[in-house]
Amino acid sequence: MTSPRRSGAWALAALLAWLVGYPLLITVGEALGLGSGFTLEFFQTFAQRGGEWLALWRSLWISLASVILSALVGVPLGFFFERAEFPGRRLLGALVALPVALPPLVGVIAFLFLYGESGFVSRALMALFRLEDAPWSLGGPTAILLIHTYSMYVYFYLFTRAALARLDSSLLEASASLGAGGRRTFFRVVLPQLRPALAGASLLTFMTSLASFSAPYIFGGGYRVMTTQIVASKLNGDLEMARVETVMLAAMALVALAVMRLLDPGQDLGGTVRGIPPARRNFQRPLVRWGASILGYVLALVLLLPHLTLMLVSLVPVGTWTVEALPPVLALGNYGALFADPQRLQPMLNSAWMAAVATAGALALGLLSARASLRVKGRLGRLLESLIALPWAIPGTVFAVALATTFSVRAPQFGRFLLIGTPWILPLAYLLRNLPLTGRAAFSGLRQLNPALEEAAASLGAGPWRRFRKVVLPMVRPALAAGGVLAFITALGDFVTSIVLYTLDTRPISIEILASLRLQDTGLAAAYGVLLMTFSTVAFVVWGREKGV
Amino acid sequence: MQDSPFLVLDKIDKSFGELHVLANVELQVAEGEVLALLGPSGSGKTTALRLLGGFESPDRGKILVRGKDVTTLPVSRRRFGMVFQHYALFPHLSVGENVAFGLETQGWGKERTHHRVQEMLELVDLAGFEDRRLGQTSGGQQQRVALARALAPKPRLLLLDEPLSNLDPTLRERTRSQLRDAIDRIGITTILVTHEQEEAFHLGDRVAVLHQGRLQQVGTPEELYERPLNRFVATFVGRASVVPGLLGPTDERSGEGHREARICWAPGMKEIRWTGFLSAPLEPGTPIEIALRPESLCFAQPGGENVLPGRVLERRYRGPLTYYLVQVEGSPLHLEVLAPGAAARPGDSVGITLAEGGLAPRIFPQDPEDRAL
Repeated sequence: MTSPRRSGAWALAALLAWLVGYPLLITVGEALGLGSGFTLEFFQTFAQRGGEWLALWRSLWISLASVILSALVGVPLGFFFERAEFPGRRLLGALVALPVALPPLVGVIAFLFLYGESGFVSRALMALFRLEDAPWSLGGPTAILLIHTYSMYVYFYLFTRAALARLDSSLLEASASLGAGGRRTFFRVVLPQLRPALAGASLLTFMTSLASFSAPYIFGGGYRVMTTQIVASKLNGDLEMARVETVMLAAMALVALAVMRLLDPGQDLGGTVRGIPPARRNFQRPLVRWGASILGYVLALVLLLPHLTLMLVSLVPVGTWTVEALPPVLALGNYGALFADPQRLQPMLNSAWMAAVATAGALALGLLSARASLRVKGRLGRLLESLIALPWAIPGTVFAVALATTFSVRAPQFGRFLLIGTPWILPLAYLLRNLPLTGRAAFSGLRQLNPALEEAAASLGAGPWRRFRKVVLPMVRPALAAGGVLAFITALGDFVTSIVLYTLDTRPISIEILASLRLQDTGLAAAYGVLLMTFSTVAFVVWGREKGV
Repeated sequence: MQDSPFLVLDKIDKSFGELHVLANVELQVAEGEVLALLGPSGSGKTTALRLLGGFESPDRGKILVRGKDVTTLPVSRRRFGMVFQHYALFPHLSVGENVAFGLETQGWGKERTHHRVQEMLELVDLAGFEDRRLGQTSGGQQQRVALARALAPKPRLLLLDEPLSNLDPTLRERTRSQLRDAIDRIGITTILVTHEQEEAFHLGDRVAVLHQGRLQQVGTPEELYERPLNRFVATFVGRASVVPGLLGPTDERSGEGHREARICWAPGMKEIRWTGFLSAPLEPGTPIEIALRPESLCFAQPGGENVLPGRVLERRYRGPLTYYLVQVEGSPLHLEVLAPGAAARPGDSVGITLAEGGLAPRIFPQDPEDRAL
């Protein structure tokens, strides 16, 4: 290979290492007191505090429980919508996946409005049974697990469906011809084939849950998990402790990732020729057929209730809904206020430009790195790929604290600049958090690109730039668009990094939602939520179309 | 080749890591000639084509076009047209846009490009297909789009990588004729890679046989079939049975180069003597192999002079003539005989001898390594 190509790849690797790896190292260093000696004092303090261990333990068990609960909901749903045929299956099957498109904070407040103490369900029960007080209070681990399950079962659902769709019907036929009954075929043939998908969904759920911030922040109250503990320490001004907690959470994430890799090395089971997926079970008896259909509708309705609630609440003018079971007044005033009042419009504009800049940057960096990685191959190629993927394994809170630590100091000779308090820190944070999304999209697009196409272009006289513009870019555009859309909505609805890094001038939508909630302006919070939800849903549908989901 | 050669491959070596793919390959191609690189898979023929195209660079050796060294010239500046095995058509472009791609890189104007695209599509019998998407074309049509695209920028050399391997057999024959026709009309120097002898013979003016990274023989189809230089060429190009033996004296009746091969087919049996052609000078008594085409053998009365006794194992009817697979009695040797359909049935005891006036068998020195086969 030519050396300019390698030096370009090295330059990219250095840039990524500085942006992605360096802040984490700085954080570890400062937690160890580097710069003014070396000390384990902060870690000792951490070890001596029972509360810290408790938070760590809670993060762990809640994540494991989230995996189990999400699997219990998602896998049967996946089977139901992939293997059965009934009227409305396609539409309902798509609707069931929607909770994943809800930005975490929006999902949480939708749950609050629906199942919270003064939510719809609670009010309905109070009205129905003439209760004086709310029948429950939504909080603590139950609430966190409930919302985790609600938003994360989709991973299991989608992965199960995808794996079932890939299943070769001849495997089932072979099993039956060898005398295996339904149960045996399921456990010995179907389940092993689903294993990689289930392992993937478990990992995704576990990591998302470990990094989850919105649910424990809103519902946890005094019940602290690691992410909320970090933010609390930081807000209390205990920066040393926040750094130690950050390091501990990052370590936990990396250990979890390593353990998962060990348990499931992700071997490829697709070795044989890809066959035809088994035919869906078409229910013959009308009763069963319609029963399945009704079940499908009910499921979809239940799963979409939070979305509907959010829409309804967004139409309630502030102060008009007190004790009634249903809101007495519905109006579009909240939306009007959103656009008429520059103070309220600002967060949307902020979020929009920051997400756009971050996505463009993440797309460019992801594409360049993926192309460089696939061209130089070898160790350098793998290094680039790992650097691109690293932010995925690191919880958002950790990343935010690491960036806050690194870029709050002016020391250009050490690659540290003063970005905290400037409008650039949030777009940078969004960009880095989005890198795995755009990078993975670029990798998959480029890997699918037949190398003969570029060779053909070269043989027709096209130089490197023209090959890239005329052949590579158009071919990977769908994959990039999908990754970019996902990155954009993630940045648009981001809460976890924003709460650590925002400034008054760059406050994004999520922070404004939180502020509105604090002021009891639920209608306004819901209106922001609906806008985010609409964007996200549209983007998710676009993404799904590109992906062929 | 009376003119100085248009294209020269000069002592080309290429390895991928430990794997030696091409060793000391030397080849010359005249202007306007169609050369077929023929070989089994793994013989290095595709690598040779990719070196020519500039997609790989040789470890050693040079590639010259009209005496100019192009070994290190970038692909995009070689002006070689290439038709890829799976065509590598750009799926995001229409048929016309695919054909125009190379013209745009050369900066042809809009009008000229349009005319050239029309001309090329007409050449490959696809007039009116300009606006079609690739999804609306068949495999055979895509093959021709790929050809039109490669030819449009008026390349100096046309490279074809297994151009017909993606087509079904009936379509292949028709497309092959169209391909040869198009090449003839343009008169472009062409190198083509294939593993099918029929394709190489039909398309190539000359055929170069590659095996294990080495060039075995270069020649016209007649030369390769009638006068193979070694056992590999004899068996890979056309059908042939190979029988071991010892070299005998010169056969005076048959003329220069014709030597007796003494074949001792089974222990204790009387050896038989068949005459074949030997190109290398060798001492009598040297271990040899004799390659026999099915049509140079015929059935005879068992027990006659220089007749091998055997039993028919298999009969494969092929219209006017039939292939018989015969096991030589008391020996693991098999021979293939081409004879009329009624000559024998499976299980029959037969005698085999050389056909009168047939193609002379070829005698090669025995390769000690091949003995194991």
